[in-house]
Amino acid sequence: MTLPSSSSSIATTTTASGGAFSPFALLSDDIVLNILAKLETDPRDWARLACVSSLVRTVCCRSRCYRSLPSDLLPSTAASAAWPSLHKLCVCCPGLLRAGVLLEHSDFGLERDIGPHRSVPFCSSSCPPIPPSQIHPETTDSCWSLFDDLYFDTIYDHSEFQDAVLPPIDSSPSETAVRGGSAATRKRKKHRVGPAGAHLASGPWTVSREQGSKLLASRFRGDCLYMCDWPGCVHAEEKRKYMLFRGVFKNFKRSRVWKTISDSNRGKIALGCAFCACRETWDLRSAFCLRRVFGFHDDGEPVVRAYVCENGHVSGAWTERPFLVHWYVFFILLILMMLRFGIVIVNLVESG
Amino acid sequence: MARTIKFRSSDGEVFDVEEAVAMESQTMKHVIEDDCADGGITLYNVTSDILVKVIEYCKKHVDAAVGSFIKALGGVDKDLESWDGEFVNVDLAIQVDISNASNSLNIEGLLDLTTRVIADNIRGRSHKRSVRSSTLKMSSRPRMRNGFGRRTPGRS
Repeated sequence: MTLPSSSSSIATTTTASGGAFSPFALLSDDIVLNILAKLETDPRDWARLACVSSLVRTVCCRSRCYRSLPSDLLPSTAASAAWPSLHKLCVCCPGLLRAGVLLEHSDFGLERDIGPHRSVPFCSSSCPPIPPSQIHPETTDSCWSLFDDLYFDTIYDHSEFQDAVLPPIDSSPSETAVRGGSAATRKRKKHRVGPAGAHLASGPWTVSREQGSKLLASRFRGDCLYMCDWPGCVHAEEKRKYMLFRGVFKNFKRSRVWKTISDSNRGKIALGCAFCACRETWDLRSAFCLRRVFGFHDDGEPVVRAYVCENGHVSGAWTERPFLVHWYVFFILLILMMLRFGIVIVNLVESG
Repeated sequence: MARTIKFRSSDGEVFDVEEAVAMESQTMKHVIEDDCADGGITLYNVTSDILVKVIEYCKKHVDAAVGSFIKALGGVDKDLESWDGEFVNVDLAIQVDISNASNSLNIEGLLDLTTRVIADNIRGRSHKRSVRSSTLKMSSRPRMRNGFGRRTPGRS
């Protein structure tokens, strides 16, 4: 009786000329899968082995996704390239960088929304105002942005000021330019406590639609956004605590959020996705896709921020809503208390 | 006297193995039950040094099971566990060969033991060490840019 030899399991190990030969290369795929199954408890082991074994991406990630994700989110084909991204989304926190926490927010994100500030040259009386059609002579396909509206609201028609003699302002562009743009690009050195890059998420490695419905505005109620459980991965930084979350849209290209983004022709920002190869994402807050109750902190940082890539992967961060104490409210209350106290004393004196 | 089965390794060495020990392998169990083992069994993918180790494992576990009331009650035999730990305390190449042999012979306990040891060996390695270490290359196939392996002709 003879047993057929398997082409993948050769008993002798030989050293190939010109380099070391790996004994692991002799293992058959089912043994490799057996070993990988024993390494499932720590996803970082799979991440390390993904570069040396394709089975991690093709088989292991798929089996893990089947067990931990809702069936709605699972790709229809077993050979889909989305399995590694979905698996990473389950277990990996995007980190402060990909969640947008490290973006400059001192200008409330205006430079990212409406573009950098352009210095407005002051024209003399001999210089006619530039009509809108000539503002962008080269970029015929550029859309009309909010910045253009603001610009043309501020220039005035010289025909209304025929008699006025206005001295020309002779100054260098660097002095006339409002420093808002430079303030936005000024990089403040921030001392970070936690990791800026992606890392293993703390908390449960599951996603649910219930969490996603808390993020989106009411008109996007029909979209299925699955997000990790509250509070996500908590990063206690110097200034405030950030609760980093991650999520994914089901059928993103058929969602209302996608329609809103594409119809409004919103520009992407140079913030890469933490879960796939997308190098740019859309800001859901500036696209008005998040609940309007979320506001800003005093330093311009949004209470909630979220960024979505073309594949529907969402990264973001919650912060605790600021407790606004207006100083004038405090003084008004103090004055009222003093008045009341004064009235009480006067009454006592009169009665006494 | 217990019946013995002749096993021939890939390098031609012959071993006489008791039937009870041979039946630790599910593959051999089916061959023996089908009365196909009378002329001996040749294992083309197991060398003599690995076959010796496999037979040693099977014999130890058969002997331990016969006299073990703890195992019958579903408990854990600490002495046997300790012996298993010493048994797989060998070079990685031998661990891989034993793993392959146990897979082809369908010896579940030995396969689980060897894969567990290999996994422990891999666990906790840093990323750089994993990538640079030639011992961890699980496939000699060239890698495509998107990370998926490409099948080379003639290899499974």
